[in-house]
Amino acid sequence: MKLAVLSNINLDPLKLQLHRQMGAVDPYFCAYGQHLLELLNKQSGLYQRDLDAVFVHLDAEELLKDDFFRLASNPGENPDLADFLAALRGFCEERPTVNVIISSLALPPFSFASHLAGPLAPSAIEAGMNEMLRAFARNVSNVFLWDFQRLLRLHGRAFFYDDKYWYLGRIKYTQNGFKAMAEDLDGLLRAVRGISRKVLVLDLDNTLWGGVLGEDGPEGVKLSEDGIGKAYRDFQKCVKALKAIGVLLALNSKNDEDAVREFLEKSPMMVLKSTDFAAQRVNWKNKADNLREIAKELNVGLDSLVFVDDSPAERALVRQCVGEVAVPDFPADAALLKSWFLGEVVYRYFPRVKLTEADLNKTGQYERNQKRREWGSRLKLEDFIASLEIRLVLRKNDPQTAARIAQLTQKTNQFNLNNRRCTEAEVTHYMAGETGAVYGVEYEDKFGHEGLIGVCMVRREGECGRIDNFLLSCRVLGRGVENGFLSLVLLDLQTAGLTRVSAQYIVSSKNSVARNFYSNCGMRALGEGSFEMEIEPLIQNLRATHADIYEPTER
Amino acid sequence: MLIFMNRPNDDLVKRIEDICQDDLNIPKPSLSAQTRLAEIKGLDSLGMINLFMAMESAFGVRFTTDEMAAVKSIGDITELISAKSNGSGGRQT
Repeated sequence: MKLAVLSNINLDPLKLQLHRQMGAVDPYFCAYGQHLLELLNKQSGLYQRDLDAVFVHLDAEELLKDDFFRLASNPGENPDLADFLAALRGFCEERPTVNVIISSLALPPFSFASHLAGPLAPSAIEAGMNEMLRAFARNVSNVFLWDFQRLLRLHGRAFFYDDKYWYLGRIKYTQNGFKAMAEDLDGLLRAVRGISRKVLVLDLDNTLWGGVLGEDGPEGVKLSEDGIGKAYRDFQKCVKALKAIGVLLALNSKNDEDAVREFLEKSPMMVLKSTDFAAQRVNWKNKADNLREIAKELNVGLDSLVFVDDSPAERALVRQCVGEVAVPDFPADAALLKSWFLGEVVYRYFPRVKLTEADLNKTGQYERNQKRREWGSRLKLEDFIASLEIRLVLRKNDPQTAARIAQLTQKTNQFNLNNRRCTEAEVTHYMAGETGAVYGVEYEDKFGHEGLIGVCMVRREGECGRIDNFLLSCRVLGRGVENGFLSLVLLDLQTAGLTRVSAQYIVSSKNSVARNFYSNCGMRALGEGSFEMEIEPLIQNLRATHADIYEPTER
Repeated sequence: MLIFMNRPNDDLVKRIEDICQDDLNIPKPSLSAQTRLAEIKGLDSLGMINLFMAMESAFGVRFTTDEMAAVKSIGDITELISAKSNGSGGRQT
């Protein structure tokens, strides 16, 4: 790797860190203050060298010079930056095979302008300069933008900067800062050269879900929209997103193949489906052997694989037997899965600078974005709701839903008409009672399955059904789901021979969103939050308000 | 007895030697508390800055410009680090 570094500040300590990070690299550093001349003078060291890449890192505060201490008159067009970019363009055209990496610009968080807003605000000046860089990168094909601000957000300014070295040696960053820069730059340079792993191989138990499928069963594993199960679901979404930019996925798990296949096909909480995996080794064989087979099947080298497994023993085995496979450590806490995966795995092993047509075509991403834009331009709520293709599934007195129903009664605060909190035992008891019925509703739309999100508990009093409990998770509010759910319940009550319903709205500090629900449905108010209505006209009312978009499906 | 009392700072001197060798490319520096910075071959003004930066990173401390200006010998550095890190000298990253 033949690299040159061009800057308006002293980056000398980066030399050591680049050497440590990238091994045999002896970058050419332009002398301090010479960055513009190096570009303009074709006899300069920069032009004399045979280079693979040039790293350009400008300090924004230096670029502004004394303008930093006054309000820049034309913040959008920094003339020094414009001059520099013009000179850099000359170099890029002269040396079209050299990849030029240019850092985004970051101003210090403090300025004498303090809270000043508008185009003269420091943040606006910074954004204006970065826009110049972006436009430059768009127009010159061998230029890549490096998001230096991302690194500052990640580590914090105190980690990165030390003002005293500026005054002692025109150096701005700490050694830790330079180290972080070298690591990130290494990743970017590999991405520029197209060096990226190709396949992400995943374990299943305690990796894609919490718990062990073979022991805890499909209902017992942690994979949900709530609690720590959501961490696994979010992790799956990250993995799926990586697939969308062209990374192949594979499974390598010690598990019963049939049980896994059934779970992958049937679990509504699985973001990743069987078809997402280009190769699958779900068996009781040695995982190192499985990895060799996967590489062979996908026709890639072992050095194209990244293996993610929660078990330290399996990781150690793979590291020992197939050293070419990258085996990142696994976080000790599932809550860290997403940030670990994005920060440690994606940047290190699957860096991207530009997406190819082939990357995107694999997933039909263009098509989906197109659709989303169309939806966004719709004005009518009804059309939007209809386009979601919502499907509700009613679950009546199903003991398997008791735990989730109890949880919803305890956690739901906003669209909760009765604020009646139940334990699992109480829900089960209510289900088993002669006169009571517990309804749960599952929600699904074209974007995926949300699981059980609503609860209605009804007690029979002669021909009248008294709604003891009615609530809906706020995730699905605003789509008419409450009306659809109530009408499904009413249809069931009607089938059971009931003719009237009564209900109550009990005020709490958080449930004002539900205050007008029953009156909006057209129920008669009896005062003190009590309502009553005959079932048949109530169903007609609900039909008129969104409910007609649902196909009632009973399970 | 004296040898044992000096031990913690001897450790620091050893670690500064390592830093000089690993971070500053100064081959086999043989340092003691009495070594004056001006005597260390290959340690120019930029090298001095690099040395302080590496020590801040290795010992998890920060020096002021006055403190840095007052340092004349390796012993001055070890005293400064001992005072700042309460003698723990632990590597923080």
